[in-house]
Amino acid sequence: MQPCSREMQGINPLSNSSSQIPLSGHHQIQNSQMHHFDPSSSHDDFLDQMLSNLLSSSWLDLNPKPFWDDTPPPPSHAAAENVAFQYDDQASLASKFRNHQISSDGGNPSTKSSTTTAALMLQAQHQLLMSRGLAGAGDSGLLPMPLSLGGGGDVDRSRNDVVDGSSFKSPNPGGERSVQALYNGFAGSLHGGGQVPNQTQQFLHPQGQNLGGSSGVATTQTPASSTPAQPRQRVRARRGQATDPHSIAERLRREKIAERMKALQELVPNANKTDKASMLDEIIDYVKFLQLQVKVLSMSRLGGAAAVAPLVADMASEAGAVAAAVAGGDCVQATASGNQTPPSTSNDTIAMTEHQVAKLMEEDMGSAMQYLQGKGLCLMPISLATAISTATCHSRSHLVNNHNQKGPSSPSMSVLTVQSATAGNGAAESSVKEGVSVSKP
Amino acid sequence: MILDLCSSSRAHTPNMTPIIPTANNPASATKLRFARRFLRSLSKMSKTRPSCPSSICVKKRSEGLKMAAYWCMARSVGSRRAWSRAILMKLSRGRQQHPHHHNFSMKRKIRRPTWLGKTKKKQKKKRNITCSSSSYDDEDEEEIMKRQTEKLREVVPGGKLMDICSLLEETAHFVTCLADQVHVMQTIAHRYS
Repeated sequence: MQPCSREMQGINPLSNSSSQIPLSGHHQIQNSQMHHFDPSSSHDDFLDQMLSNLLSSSWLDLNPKPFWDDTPPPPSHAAAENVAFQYDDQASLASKFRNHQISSDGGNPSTKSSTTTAALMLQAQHQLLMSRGLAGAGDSGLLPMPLSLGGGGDVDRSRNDVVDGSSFKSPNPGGERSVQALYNGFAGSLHGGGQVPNQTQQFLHPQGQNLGGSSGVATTQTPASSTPAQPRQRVRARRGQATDPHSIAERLRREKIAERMKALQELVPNANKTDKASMLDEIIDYVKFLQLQVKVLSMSRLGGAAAVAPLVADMASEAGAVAAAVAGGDCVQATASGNQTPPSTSNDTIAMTEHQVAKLMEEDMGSAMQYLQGKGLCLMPISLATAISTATCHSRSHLVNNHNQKGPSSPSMSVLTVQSATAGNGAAESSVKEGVSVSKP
Repeated sequence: MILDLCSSSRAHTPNMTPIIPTANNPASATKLRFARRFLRSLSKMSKTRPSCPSSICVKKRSEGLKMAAYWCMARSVGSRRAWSRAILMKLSRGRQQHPHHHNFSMKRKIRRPTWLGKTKKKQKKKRNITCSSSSYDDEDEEEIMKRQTEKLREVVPGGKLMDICSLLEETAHFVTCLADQVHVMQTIAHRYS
């Protein structure tokens, strides 16, 4: 189109095009568009093709929705949402247009790629135009156009949809006029200045993305359902949903919590529970158990066994498999004098261990067992222990106290702790590494 | 002594010590710092400790020792963690009321935070349970989770101010530090008792 090319040079951006509705203005707009399209496509030919294609395609298929009745982008949406919505539109438009193009004619194979970029964009724009409510007759629609061009600058700066809405007021089922409207509107958006390049860039980019490959068309047809294919880039998971940012944040939060729970699971022993609630219970119990351990240790170190002893003696009457008692008040008194004097003997250590176990058993059997496990110790019936000790002959000067499993309530019962060579070994197989402190009644 | 700690945590020598260390219990820097501080405070305490054999005195002393242990732990961790900051703040507040560390253990008018001593502050648990405690099944999962997180907040210092995410993170670190603390104290007790 020669006139087009001629006018291309002299054209300035659209500030002066307000009065020119007919084809000259149209060309101006085209040229400005061309300017914008420069990096992406060639100038004349593709426009011709676009025009021809657009004219040939059936615009009447597109249902114009009245702008004022329908609110495709509810005002509550953020601008980003609107852009996303537009992306959606453009994506679908792109696919539609591509189908159109393929179906209508082969197009020029040489410039097809470059054509489609711009063409799709125009198509998208037009779709937007139509969807934004191009009501009314064709002629009347054109009249607001120039006004919008002039005032489009201000409008553009406000919001995308407002721009589009105000500038794309013409219904234009007619081919040429629709094209004009499209171009006008696009020019109007271009005219906006600062915001415009963003808009157009935004419009361009999804096109570029969508046209990445022929497969892009297929994916763009269902943008909403394509999200499962991209589990990683989850910034826009579901489109068009009002609760979008909240659901994403919610999901991220849940993932973080699950991750931290897993880390805790590794720390806490007996972490074989899969249930979150029981896992939390375990964690709480373990923290309480550790704090109890600190308490017991602080007491025992000060020789507070005097305080511990009566507590332990009370437990001697406990029925059950094991009853705990103080391993001899004598040993305890020896250690009670404090941490300065007595030489370290394993006897006292065992006594301390027993104290701790007794204290723990007073509170909770589970924690007591855990405590023992942590130390690599286990509880076993004394009869068995004596058998082992005599068999292995590892006993030192310490005596082994026997505790009946049926639990007669003798206050001199003591807990037998046996060192196991490996933690996993059963009691029967463990060898007594150290003697166990004992007190005879 | 510190070397003993290291060796006891690294080597399996059942003959030397009855405390069999677990496989995944290395001597971290925090642990060593804690050990050093704790020993220093222990020696200080034993120097200034009055030798009254009464049980009440003993109890108070053990309370003071427990506070000292937590304080040393918090200082070793520093201000990196919310729970350590909470401990330090609470203890310093307690100290302001009672300037001398010794007096702190003697006087019993201290408002202890729940996680330090098992005081009777159980009303917090009941307050948040809106539905009746008639049967366990009636309460749905949300209530159970809420209750448990409340419990966890009580146990972990500084837990009341955090959301669940950071609460879990703090709990993990707190558990590791507590385990270290217990190990150090056990070793010390073993050596000196």
